[in-house]
Amino acid sequence: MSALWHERSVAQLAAHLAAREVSSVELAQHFLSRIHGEADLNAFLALNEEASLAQARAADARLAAGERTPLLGVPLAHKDVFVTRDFPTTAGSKMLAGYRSPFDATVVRRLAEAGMVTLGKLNCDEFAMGSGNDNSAYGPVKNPWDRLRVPGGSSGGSAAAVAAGLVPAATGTDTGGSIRQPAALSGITGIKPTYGRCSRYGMVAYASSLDQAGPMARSAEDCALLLSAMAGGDPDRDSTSLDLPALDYSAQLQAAGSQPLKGLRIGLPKQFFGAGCSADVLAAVRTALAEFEKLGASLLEVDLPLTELSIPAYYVIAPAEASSNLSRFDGVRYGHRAKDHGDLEDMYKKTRSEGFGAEVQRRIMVGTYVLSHGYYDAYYLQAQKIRRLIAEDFQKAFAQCDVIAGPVAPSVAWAIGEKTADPLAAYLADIYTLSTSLAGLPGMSVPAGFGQGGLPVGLQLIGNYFEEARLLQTAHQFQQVSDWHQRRPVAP
Amino acid sequence: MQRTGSKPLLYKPFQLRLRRHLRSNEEGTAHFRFHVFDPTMALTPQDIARVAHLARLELPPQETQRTLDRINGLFQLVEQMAAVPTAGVQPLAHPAAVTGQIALRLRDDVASEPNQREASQVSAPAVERGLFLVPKVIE
Amino acid sequence: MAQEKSRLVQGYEVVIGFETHTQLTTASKIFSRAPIAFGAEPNTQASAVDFALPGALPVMNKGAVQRAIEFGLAVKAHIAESSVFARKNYFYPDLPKGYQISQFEIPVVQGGEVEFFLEGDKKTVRLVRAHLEEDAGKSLHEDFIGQSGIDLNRAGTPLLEIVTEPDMRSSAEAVAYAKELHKIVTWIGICDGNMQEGSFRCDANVSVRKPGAELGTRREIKNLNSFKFMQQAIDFEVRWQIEEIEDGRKIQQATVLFDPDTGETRAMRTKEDSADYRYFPDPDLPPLVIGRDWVEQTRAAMSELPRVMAERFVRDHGLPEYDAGQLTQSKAVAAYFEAVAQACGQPKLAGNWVMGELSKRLNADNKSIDASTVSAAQLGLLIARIADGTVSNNAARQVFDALWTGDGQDVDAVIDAKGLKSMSDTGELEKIIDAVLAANAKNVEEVKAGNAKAFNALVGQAMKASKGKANPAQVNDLLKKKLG
Repeated sequence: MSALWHERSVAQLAAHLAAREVSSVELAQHFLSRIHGEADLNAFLALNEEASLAQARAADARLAAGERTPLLGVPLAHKDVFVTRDFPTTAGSKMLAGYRSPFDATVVRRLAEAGMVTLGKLNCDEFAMGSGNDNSAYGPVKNPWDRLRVPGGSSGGSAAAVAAGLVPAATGTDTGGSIRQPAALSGITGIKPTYGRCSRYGMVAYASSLDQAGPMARSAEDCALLLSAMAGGDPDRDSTSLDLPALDYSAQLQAAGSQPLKGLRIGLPKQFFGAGCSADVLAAVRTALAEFEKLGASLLEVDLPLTELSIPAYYVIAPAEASSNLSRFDGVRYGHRAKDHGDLEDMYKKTRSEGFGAEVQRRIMVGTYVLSHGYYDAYYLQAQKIRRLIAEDFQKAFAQCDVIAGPVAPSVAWAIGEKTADPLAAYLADIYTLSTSLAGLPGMSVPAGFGQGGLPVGLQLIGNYFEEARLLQTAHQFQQVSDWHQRRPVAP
Repeated sequence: MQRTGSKPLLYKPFQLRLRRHLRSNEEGTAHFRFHVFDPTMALTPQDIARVAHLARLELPPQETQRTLDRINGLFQLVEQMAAVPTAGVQPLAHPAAVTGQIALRLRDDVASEPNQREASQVSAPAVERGLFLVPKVIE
Repeated sequence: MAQEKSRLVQGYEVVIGFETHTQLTTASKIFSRAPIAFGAEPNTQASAVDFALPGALPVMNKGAVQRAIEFGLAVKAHIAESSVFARKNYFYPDLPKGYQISQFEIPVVQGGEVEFFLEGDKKTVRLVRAHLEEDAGKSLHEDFIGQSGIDLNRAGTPLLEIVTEPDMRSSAEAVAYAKELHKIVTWIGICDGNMQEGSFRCDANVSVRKPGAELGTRREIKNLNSFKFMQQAIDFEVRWQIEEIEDGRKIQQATVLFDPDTGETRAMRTKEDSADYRYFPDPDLPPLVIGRDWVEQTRAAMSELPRVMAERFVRDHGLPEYDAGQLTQSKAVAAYFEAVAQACGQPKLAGNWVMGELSKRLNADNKSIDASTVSAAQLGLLIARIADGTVSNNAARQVFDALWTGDGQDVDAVIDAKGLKSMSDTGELEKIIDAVLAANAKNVEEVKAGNAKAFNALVGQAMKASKGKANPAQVNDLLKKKLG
């Protein structure tokens, strides 16, 4: 049994730990050795065995004392945009090489309080900007399904680590699709909750009005377990977090009867099913949707007319906010500082040009441009108005349906390096996930089959505000009658 | 849940004076004052240079064209936004406005953060006697 | 309306507007819970938010908002129901985030006005706005060669930036405005007013023009931290601008600093290109909402404002406006005056004594009124003794002296001890007057001939003869009676 701990879900591991069939230390050691064995994937940026084992011992002590809580003793890893005291935080950038935060992100703290054991920090696109994890200063992450291909981004390390069984779960962040898309491309389950559900305190900021933390694991059930611990207001530290208590999402997964989704109306935006999406993806998505119908759901078409315009709107708003958020990286108080420089202005320029990668610099420049005097109204303000219209379009759609569904990405995983020469192509591939982020709605990716080359396809479920529970339940019911989420890549 | 209608946020009697004050206060941007917005205009190398300076980035000259091409590629998409009629639409600067949390939370005025200089300066590039050192700042 | 004294300088009209940054008297910073005491060891009063560490986020301090509301009420401004925080983006080592959280299009306080007196004329300076923002840190240069040391203790201190319309027309008016504003913010307790420590910093926007012409290009004199230097700086700047124009040169918009050693203003390194601040609403902070309840509760709880109190003094005590203004220069002075007036029932006399003798003594000893060795009760009693004729004004001054130096505590005791009681016995007074009349026959004739000066001389003689103890009014009356 011991050799297969990595095939167990979070829920199962928690049960084994509770039954004292395995200790948290044993689990930590098991996964750490798997991590070492798969260094080729380049999913991890930092490990600290001493700290991990100390956490595991503490969890074992709690178990020994009789505590039985849903996540106690289970290992996980954090995307490297969450600051941690026990591990360096780089956000995938040279700018923060070796940076040690004096505080933990709220999400990290809450999962630690729930007894989870951190095994390391996960690679990601630099400052969460990217959709292939090929913008990391520490090298690309490989998709465990095909190591010549991207796992998706920006939470590529998180997706790859879970898909390859290096950790049973991971945290990710989603600004324009960075949880959903890598989950889809790597064949795992991930959810971006409603904006403000999770605290952003301790998340290295990319675009403040879009960034959200979320869990990535092998199933909706596991995601529900993690989200229950992660979510909840953080009024003392994050003014944009919703001052609402966390819910027990696990308690809401069940639904009775042979048609557990009876009455559920699933809206399919016609813009998501058009020529822009590759045939193999659409085929897998439609097959999955047929299963939802068997479970009692009804399908209907809805209209999200501004879907295409979500791309320029997002790529104006996110870079604008990022250009300001990244100004603090100036070589003065922490992080990289250029070794050779002249006066202060020269120090700033060399530091930032050396510390930031090309994509980050481009987005900073785009953002600076759209905020600059004379351009603000035409670009930034216009984008925010389109954002309002997009949010209203979703409300019109939700008047007719309960959940919106469609593909996550227009194709399966592409080859590493394929889109580096043309970043615009990467932006265009975000088309199905951006509008959800702009509106602040919750969105989920659920494994729904395979496409070309045997690569995973993800089904996106989008809910109305605060409907994470409904999304998780819908996904969970689907996962009860399908096994896409249990498939694993064959180790090379 | 959300509304497109706009509730004026500036107390009407002061709208004009506030706006006039803001306009008269745009320091150092005289050279943009007469910019005529032309949606078909792509960015120029001068734009790139100005923006790079504002962002304290240094582009090697051989990079400028490539960066320009890539950014202009994005802006071709961005120009499409101009075609969307948005008169009277309130910008959605923040999803908080539609998720229902519309007021800034206020905390009690209590000083509870202790001295944490050491832990905060552990990653500092240059520190002396507790001060962050930088090349001389000229007023 | 009285004709305004022409304030033209060499034929040019001076136009001045002020921006004043006041540090608020909160216990913690505006967006973090670090303390804000002055003079702590570098970087010991800064949290993750103030160091702008990755992942740190701002959380708004209610005390800062409370003080903004109080200021708005004190200047009769509109308190915005909803105002927005915006980021002002620029790079500077004392600005850790690379942006300052401020308010741009929609400030918390809108409009308002400040009234004050300038050489007897009542002036009103209109405010455009006042908004909340965070202060930057400090750069220190002295101990480092080729480098500067950055201290972020001050970064994040709450500021209320108060902006006027360009309503002022002379350096004197500008200083008077600044002093009145200083009085208001310290009176209501939102700012400690300590200019040496940087709690109250003024920037003056100065331009000149020929009367009737368009507004000239203005230059901004930054960080004026003393009223004395304020006037000097503005005067120099005005003369400099006029000279430039007269020499045929155009004024370029610039930020200038005043050098107190040379008495000159000098342009700072121009940051032309970097002045595009790219303001946009801060996505980390939802709008600040202030309900009318909060405003009304604050209004009800605020103590009487200096202007209102001054108006009350004019109305109820018949004091001249100028005096009322002087007596409301601080809460402490006003309280002292009211206590004295209450004790003696002679508000006009009370006012004269507080602004006169007491003020003279306090200035000479460099004391604030709280440190006065003569209490309000004592002074009140002394004035009562003048009013009831027990002592003359002159005698009272001697009593005051004694009280001031501590050479006696009790008013009546000192009067007795020094034998300062006025002559109350009319009989004795008559004898003295008779003697004076007898000794000054020539004067008597002059008086009868209508010479007022001669009469005064006789009064003087009588007072001298009585060793100052006579009541001058009485002497007057008796003399008149006797001379017919």
